[in-house]
Amino acid sequence: MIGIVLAGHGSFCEGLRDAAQMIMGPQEHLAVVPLGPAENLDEYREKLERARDEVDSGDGVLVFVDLFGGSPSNVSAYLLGASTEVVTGVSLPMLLEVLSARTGSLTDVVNTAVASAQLGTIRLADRIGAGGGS
Amino acid sequence: MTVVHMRIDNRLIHGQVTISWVGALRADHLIVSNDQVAQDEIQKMMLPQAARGVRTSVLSVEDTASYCDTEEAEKERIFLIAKFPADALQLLERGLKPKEINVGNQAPIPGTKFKMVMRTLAATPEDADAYRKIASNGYRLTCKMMPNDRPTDFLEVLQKKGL
Repeated sequence: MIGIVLAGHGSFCEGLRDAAQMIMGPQEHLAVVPLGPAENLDEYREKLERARDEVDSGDGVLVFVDLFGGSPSNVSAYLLGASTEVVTGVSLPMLLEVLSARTGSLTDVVNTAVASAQLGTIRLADRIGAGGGS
Repeated sequence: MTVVHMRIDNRLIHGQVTISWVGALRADHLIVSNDQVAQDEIQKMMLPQAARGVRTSVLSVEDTASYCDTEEAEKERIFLIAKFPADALQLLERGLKPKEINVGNQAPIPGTKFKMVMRTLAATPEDADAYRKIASNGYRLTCKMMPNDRPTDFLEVLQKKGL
């Protein structure tokens, strides 16, 4: 099973985990690493590395970060390697997709995550034929 | 040289910097200045990408000072980010004359005798000395979170905290 680490500004990743577990129930091999406003980035890197080791069951780990270019994303680059990947711009639909399909290879799971990014954003009026606007 | 703004921030380039400050300063070149970061291959790859399209250099203090002396630099609006107050002080001692200096974030470094002087700003007695030396070069050191915030005098903040 691919391990998952959620990293982000403030309590973003805790909120994301809560939302996912509310929908899918408790999840294994899932860790959160929130970045506080006065956090030292060297310490944050160590926390990320510890979380990665914690959730790794030997099949690899996918680290999700909230914002490309933000500090969690910049620091997560140190973790990249053969058994660790990082995907930025995580959303709830993306996380749910991955949580329900994380028995494949790390590459498969990364592809699932990236592909789900667009599928999760829909203009609701298009779906229910309400039209409206132009 | 046209260093329009020097920021002291050990989180370097991040959302606050790129979203609020780069635009307000109309900066066209971001320079991150610190000897250690200039040798960190990962940061050198990530920081320019974090800057959302603004030209970005990651240089040692010495290379920053040399670059700012060039004709090319004179035509630019440089936004300089010094990682620590000691880097900023060294840059001033090397002759840099930024138009203004602001203190951004300084996350505490474990194992040092720091005090939190503001919510996201830690300072040690050595830092406080460096800040005072910076100010003695004729600067009013501010600590504004956003470009349009009312400027707070940072030396007064340090004094209130007994530093």
